[in-house]
Amino acid sequence: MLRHYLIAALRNLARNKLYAAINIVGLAVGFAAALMIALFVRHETSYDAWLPNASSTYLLAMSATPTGGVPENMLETPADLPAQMKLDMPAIELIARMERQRLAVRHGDFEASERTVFWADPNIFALLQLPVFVGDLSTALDQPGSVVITRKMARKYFGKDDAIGETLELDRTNIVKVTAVLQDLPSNTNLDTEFIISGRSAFSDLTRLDTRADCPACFEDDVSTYVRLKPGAVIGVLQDAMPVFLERHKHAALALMATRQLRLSMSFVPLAALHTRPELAEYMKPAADPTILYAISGIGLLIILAASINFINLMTARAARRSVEIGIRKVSGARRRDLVVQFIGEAILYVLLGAILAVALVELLLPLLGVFLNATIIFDWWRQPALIAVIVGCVVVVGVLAGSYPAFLLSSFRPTSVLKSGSLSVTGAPPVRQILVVVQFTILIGLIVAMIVISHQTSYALNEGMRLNLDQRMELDTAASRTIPGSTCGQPFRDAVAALPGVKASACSGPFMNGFQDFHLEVITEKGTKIDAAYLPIDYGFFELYGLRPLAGRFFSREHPADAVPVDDNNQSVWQAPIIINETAVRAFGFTSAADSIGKSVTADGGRPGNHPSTIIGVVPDMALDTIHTAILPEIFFVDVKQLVVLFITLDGRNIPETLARIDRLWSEIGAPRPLRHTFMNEWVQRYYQDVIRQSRLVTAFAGVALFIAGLGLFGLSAFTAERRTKEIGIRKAMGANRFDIMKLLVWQFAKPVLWANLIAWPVAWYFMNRWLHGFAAHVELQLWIFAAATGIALAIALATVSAHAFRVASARPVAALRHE
Amino acid sequence: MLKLEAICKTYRTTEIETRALDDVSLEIDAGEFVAVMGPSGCGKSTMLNLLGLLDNATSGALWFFGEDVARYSEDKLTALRRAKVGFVFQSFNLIDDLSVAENVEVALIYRGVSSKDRRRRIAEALERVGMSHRAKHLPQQLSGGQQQRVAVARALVSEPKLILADEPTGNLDTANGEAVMEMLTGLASGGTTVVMVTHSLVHAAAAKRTIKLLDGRVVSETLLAA
Ligand SMILES: Nc1ncnc2c1ncn2[C@@H]1O[C@H](COP(=O)(O)OP(=O)(O)OP(=O)(O)O)[C@@H](O)[C@H]1O
Ligand SMILES: [Mg+2]
Repeated sequence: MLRHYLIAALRNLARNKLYAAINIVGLAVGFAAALMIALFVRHETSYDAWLPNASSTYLLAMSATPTGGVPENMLETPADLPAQMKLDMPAIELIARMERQRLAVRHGDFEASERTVFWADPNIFALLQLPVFVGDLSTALDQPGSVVITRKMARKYFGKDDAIGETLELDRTNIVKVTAVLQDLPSNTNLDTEFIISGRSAFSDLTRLDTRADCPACFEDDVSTYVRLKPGAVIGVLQDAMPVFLERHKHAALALMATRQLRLSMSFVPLAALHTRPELAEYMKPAADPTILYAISGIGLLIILAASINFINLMTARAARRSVEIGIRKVSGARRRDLVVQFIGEAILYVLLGAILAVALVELLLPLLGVFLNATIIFDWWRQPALIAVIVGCVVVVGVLAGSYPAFLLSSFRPTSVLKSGSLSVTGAPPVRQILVVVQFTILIGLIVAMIVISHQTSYALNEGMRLNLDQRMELDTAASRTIPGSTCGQPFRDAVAALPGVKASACSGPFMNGFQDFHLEVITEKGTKIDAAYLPIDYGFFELYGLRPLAGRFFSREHPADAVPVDDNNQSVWQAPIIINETAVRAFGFTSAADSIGKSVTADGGRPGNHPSTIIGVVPDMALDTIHTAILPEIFFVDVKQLVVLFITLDGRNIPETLARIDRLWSEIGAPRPLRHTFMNEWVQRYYQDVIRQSRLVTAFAGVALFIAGLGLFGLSAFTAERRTKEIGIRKAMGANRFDIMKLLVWQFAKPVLWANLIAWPVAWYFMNRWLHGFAAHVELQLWIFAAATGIALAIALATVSAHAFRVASARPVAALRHE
Repeated sequence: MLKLEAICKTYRTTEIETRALDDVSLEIDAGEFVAVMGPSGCGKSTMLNLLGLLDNATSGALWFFGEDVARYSEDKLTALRRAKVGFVFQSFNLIDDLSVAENVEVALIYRGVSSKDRRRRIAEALERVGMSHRAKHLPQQLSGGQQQRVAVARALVSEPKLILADEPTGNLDTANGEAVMEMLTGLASGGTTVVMVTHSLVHAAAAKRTIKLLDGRVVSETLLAA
């Protein structure tokens, strides 16, 4: 019986090659896209879940909430907590700290500035059970001056994987010895640790923190604290115990928070949950927004739906072709159930073939997907029975769902009507088909809208959204030169760089953009209102470097010696010098216009002694000092040479490598302890917006897939319709219809569902994209043209696929059509 | 008005070549009522298709209302067909998805008749064939005879100069056949040229002239004494 059905199904498939191909290719492409989405989502949701004991491992988090404000979350906590916690809290099995420090790492002639260097307590590997390549991790960090590196770094510095016993030099001062080599970490981890140095080393920053006298601002030097619970312990109990614990130890953090009127709270974040908690401050890698992951999964389902619709449509459309088969089977005693089973079985066969092709397609495209998403995505189905089970399960579910409507429709034909006329009119089927095509185009139009909006926003984020001209602008981190006496922003260095032929302009500022724009202060206006604002110490020429012009007043200038912040008796800066504010600040401080604010004054960081009202001398246009995810804050700028650490330069765009080499040479000539770190601002922005860029790429790819599937489906359906309506077309031509009339008839038939689809697609897409855009403080507006363009593209696809058939049929001699009977 | 000069029509399939019409020459005047007879497969439908400009001849010349249409493009043929010809097909050829009235309407929409006029003329045509009460039905819901009457209504609704009827009575019982014949006779006496294929000698007798075909050739022309 089964063999019989299989033969019937395969014959049917072989006889209708075009339709079989359309079905199978459509399903394969749909499945492949969905599978890749699933792999991506699995990648994003499996961050660190693969670590042994991940479920009982936590990271200590801290949040500071201003009264009536939004909490600020921190994943770094005071360094002195863990030792006390271990003593006080018996539920803790292990607790260990890690602290990132950017260091220059050197071996022989090779030196690089590394951002993946961490100091760690020796028991860190008992907590984070990372895969080892060679060495014993349980003792690797016991000795001061020992370091554990990854294979990648071993190859980078020593040209071999087994680097045990080799040494590295840190910041050209301290020597560390490799005691173990880790396997390279997969991309689904938050840990970008590539050098883990024993915190017991005398020169370790952890040692510095442990041995310092009590300081009032302890968490300027915070650490990541990892905690492993004892089996059976409950994290909630631990969390509830934290406030009491802090009180008991009268922890310095509490006092500090109290003076700033912030409420402090501590919590434990499961290691595996870190990646999908974007509300937590950026950790080692940018987090994935779960809403976006849901949305992307949803798109995967929609694509499978679109592919299934092709299948349903073509299957029912072809039903008439099989009417005699159905009639004969019925006359020969087949019950309806038998036919339903037969047709659903056939559907599963198609879906299965599609799935097999999809698996092959994914294998083929996997490396590309990795590059595309900037992640190592693994598709190890042969090693994972669960994955195979899921794929097979999907095949059955999709097969049954897609097969049941055609099966019930086909099996409902009465044998007499089928056999009498030799064909049958499938009443009821065309509207269902039309509706399904409408659904398909709704998906398509929605995805195209999403694609346009997201790429629009991405380009906005990378360009206008910054409101700064970043072209050829470069950031040089001169913080290391602060140790050189008498150097502000590497003063001698700065002047030497500015004098280079390839450098057009230069200016210094405080730490800016690199994600740590959290210099906040409170501003008291003349009316006495308190406003939270951000501040940035800058140098003369800073705004000019970015091509900004004052909206009112003037920018800082060396010609006005009073522009610089004065220093008090203790060599501390005093808030007293003139300030420049941004547009947002003009509004926030209650001025009616930029011009109105000039000459007025506000008091910064009110309450502290020594702070006097500062006069506003200029207004600068709003610009992004952070990403556009966050709103632009009221901003205050002032000149304070003591706080300048970053040097910005504008290159003239010629001989860039040569200019960079000269800058490096100047840097080493001033005797800086580590290599100079330089980043093109554009590169930096690219990295910062990686998530948006990735979303944009994903949605573009999926819209492409949906376009392909919908086009394929229409192509098949229009071929079928042209064929089914051949007689009608012949009659119409005999009655005087010309080629244009016939084209119009056929094309309109397919344009109609596309137009109907807008009715659903526009509002739904508007709703979702509007929500998406509101995740950004600064965003593009949803404009009508985007929707019109989406419809235009969908319509063009529909017409392009349909016209080929329509033209062929419309151009034929009518008699050919009429003979078709 | 219609003139065939040495018309040949050959169908080529991969294996065989069928000469459906072989050197046919004949002339049909305006307002004539002509019957075409002959055994199955002798080329009657082929000839009608050529006369109705649904197909073109392999060789020979066809004069259609004074124009030699042998080399005309499909677009030009369509324009002529639209202006002059009404068809009644051997196998009804009603569009399954359209109602009776809509089927009749098909003959008018391509002629640019306004929708108000269309409604009136459809009603008249259906009235003439006695199918007014079935205007909203679908073709499957009608008997063969009723379908044929709708097909006739469709042919005459556009008031064409030439009606080509391929066995309009072939599928009908005597009474229905008579009714259809009466309508065609009426049209012919009203000045419309009618060319009708039939197997019935009785129905052929209604025509002024009978052309007999055999294996694609005209074997005899009988003129019925009026
Ligand atoms: N499209 C075609 N392709 C090949 N051969 C054809 C085609 N149309 C008609 N013929 C052949 O041409 C010949 C004439 O066919 P035609 O349809 O004109 O016959 P007919 O006289 O109308 O017959 P009937 O009385 O059965 O309707 C037949 O032999 C037929 O097989
Ligand atoms: Mg015939």
